[in-house]
Amino acid sequence: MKTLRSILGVLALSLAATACLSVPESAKPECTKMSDCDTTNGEVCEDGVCWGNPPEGAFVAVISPPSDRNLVTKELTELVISEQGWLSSLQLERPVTVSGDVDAVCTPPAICDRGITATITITRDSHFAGGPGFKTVVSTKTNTSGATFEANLPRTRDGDAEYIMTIVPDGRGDQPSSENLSARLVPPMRVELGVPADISKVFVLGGVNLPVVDGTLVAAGGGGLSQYRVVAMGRWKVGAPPIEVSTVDYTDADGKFRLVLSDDLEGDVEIVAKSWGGTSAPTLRLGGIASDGPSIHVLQQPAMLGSKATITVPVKGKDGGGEISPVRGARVRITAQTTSSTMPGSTLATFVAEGTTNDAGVASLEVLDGQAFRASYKLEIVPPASASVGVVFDEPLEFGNQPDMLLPARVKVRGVVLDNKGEPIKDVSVTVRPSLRFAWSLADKPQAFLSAIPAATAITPSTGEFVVWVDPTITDLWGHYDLVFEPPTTGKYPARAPLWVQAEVAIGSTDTLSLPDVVLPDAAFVHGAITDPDGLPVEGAEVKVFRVNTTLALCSMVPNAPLSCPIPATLQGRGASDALGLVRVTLPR
Amino acid sequence: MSDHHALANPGSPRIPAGLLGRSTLARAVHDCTELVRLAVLLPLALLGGCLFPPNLSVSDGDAGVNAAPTILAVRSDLEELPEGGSVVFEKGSGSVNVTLYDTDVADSLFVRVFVNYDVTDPTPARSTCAAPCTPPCTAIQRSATCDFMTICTDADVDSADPRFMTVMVFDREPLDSGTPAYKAMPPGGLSGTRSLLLNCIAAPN
Repeated sequence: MKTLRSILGVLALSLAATACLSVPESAKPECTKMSDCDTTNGEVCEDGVCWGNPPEGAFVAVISPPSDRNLVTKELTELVISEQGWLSSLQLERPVTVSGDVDAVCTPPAICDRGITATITITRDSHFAGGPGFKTVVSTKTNTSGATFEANLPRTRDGDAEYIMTIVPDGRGDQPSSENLSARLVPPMRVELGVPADISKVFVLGGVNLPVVDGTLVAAGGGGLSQYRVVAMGRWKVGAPPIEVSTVDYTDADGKFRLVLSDDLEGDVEIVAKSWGGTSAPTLRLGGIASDGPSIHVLQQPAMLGSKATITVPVKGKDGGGEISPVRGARVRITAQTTSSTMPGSTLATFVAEGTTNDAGVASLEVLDGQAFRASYKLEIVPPASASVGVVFDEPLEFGNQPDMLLPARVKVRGVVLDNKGEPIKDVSVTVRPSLRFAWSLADKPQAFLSAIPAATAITPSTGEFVVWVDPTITDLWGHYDLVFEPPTTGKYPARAPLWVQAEVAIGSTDTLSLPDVVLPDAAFVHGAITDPDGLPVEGAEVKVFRVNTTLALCSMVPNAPLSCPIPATLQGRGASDALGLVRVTLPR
Repeated sequence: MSDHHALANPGSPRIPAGLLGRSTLARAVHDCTELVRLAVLLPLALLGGCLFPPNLSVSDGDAGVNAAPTILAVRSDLEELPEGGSVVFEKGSGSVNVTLYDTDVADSLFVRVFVNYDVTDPTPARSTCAAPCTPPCTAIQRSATCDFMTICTDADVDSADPRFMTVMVFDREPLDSGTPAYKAMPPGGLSGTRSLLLNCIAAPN
């Protein structure tokens, strides 16, 4: 009887424990003692994790502080990781401050001490190739002493590149404003400066010797063109993207404008005149303007522009069930261009209309119905992220009622993500984006179009499977894509799977591309403590660990790489610090 | 106080103890008082345990009430982006890592990044990413990385005015239809927002 009682007691307790105590399953530590880890390769067991045995090779890192601390981003050009997986020197620094007044140049008898409200962008190249560099934007504040600003920066040390500070006067809106005339008074200014310690300066914009471009916007039938915003686009450095490098002017009925150019510009500038005030008019452009001296120009509007007309573009595509249905949220863009004459140096007129398809899959766009553009309209359509239907690029658009625009099918890229033991991994974020080789093989215009296609993403279920959709071709060039796999990192005991990029996946002509199993490499766990200059822990800081790409062969292999050929450093892992300043990073072995 | 021994119902038949002594079942049950206790207690234990499972999670709020997810931090490749601050992104590059907080640990979280979203002329999110509940679903704090290569368009680069960018987290996946467009969720869904001023610059030539 006693035995029976015991059995029943155990049975009851077992039942109670298994059926009733629905205790949430907690993450399991991977080690409880040193022998659970690969100690021969330096791993140590701490807090249930086997740390150490980091991958070989050089790493660089960026440590970013939380935004509410008076600390600045720090780049580590040599990240030291011990065999036991400890990250050294994760100490943030206090910023140095650059501050000052922004004034307009004063030529008596004009009223002096004119504060110029401005937006100031400060950038610096990264300390390592392909790094994120430094960028910050501040605005001036107006007070009794004029327009002042203050920006916090990492200290400039010996051998560091100087900061590039671009001061752009405010009041550059699409329409003229009576409240802020700064942009009409003085052009932007670019300054290179090192900031080894706090500095305060007065930045004086404008100057009596700056080049001035005078001109007139002339309508096709003669007479001035009013309600245009006119500015010059140019650059201070070869290879830099064009930006606004002059004062801004807004034309009246006589169409006249005057632009003061910035100092020290590189090469020619282009005058860009954009209409405002709700009129559908083309943008006028005139390039080849010398930036080092005064000049006078006429921008002639082409003839036969016609009047405003509405085009509705119905966009459809095959949905998940194979049915043809409207595509909602697609970005539709119609472009056209023409010149005022066939003579060299004539004005280029460009027209752009953009819209988004509504619930019925229809986008309504206002265009000009005259002969000047009628035959040259081109259509671009970009469906929302992760759609199974693809893009339309540079498709000629017949003027008039539009038939249903059936978007092409994208190629389904499918696969399974496994860890290095062959087990499927759940919750891996899969992002697919065009490879650099693909992007830089395209000419400028399709390259710009490709960069506007949102990246498709997917999250793996417990089976590790994923499906992402990509455009197989752009301008008949077959696509190559990089697949980025980011396993979940949050949790006390993260999966032993690192961030991983499967590069240069070539897309073929089939509807579905089934990839071989994507086996993520083994991972090493490393950790460290992020501190402030006083050695106190910093919560909410982030460390990102990169590998620098030393092979730049791609730059010479593709026809349209940017002049600076900015091959980014490859992110290997990232982590944010906890309340004790401790940060954990998973690296691929 | 003495117990009341009177029968509840005087009409019930009395069973003499001597008769029970001859019953095999009665004798077995009498000998196994532990069995009787267990027979009574086991279902109670099972029921009690099953109906009222212990909540061992310190992070759970009141049961049955959905808590809104919040955004703790948005970090670019370079820095943490301050709430309401100005940020610079280069067209065609970059990503952001969003740190999320939701006491409903079983909720999957969906991040959508909108630029100049206008209810009268809504446009879809320019960037999306997600932070699923990863078993054992105990993390109240999670992160998701959103690709920002398409956050800036040509028009944004050309514009002199900064754009209004909102990073939103939803605890139900936004629906393909419904209002507000691209933000509508199944009933009960909640969201959190962080807003920034977006300045777009062109990529190097």
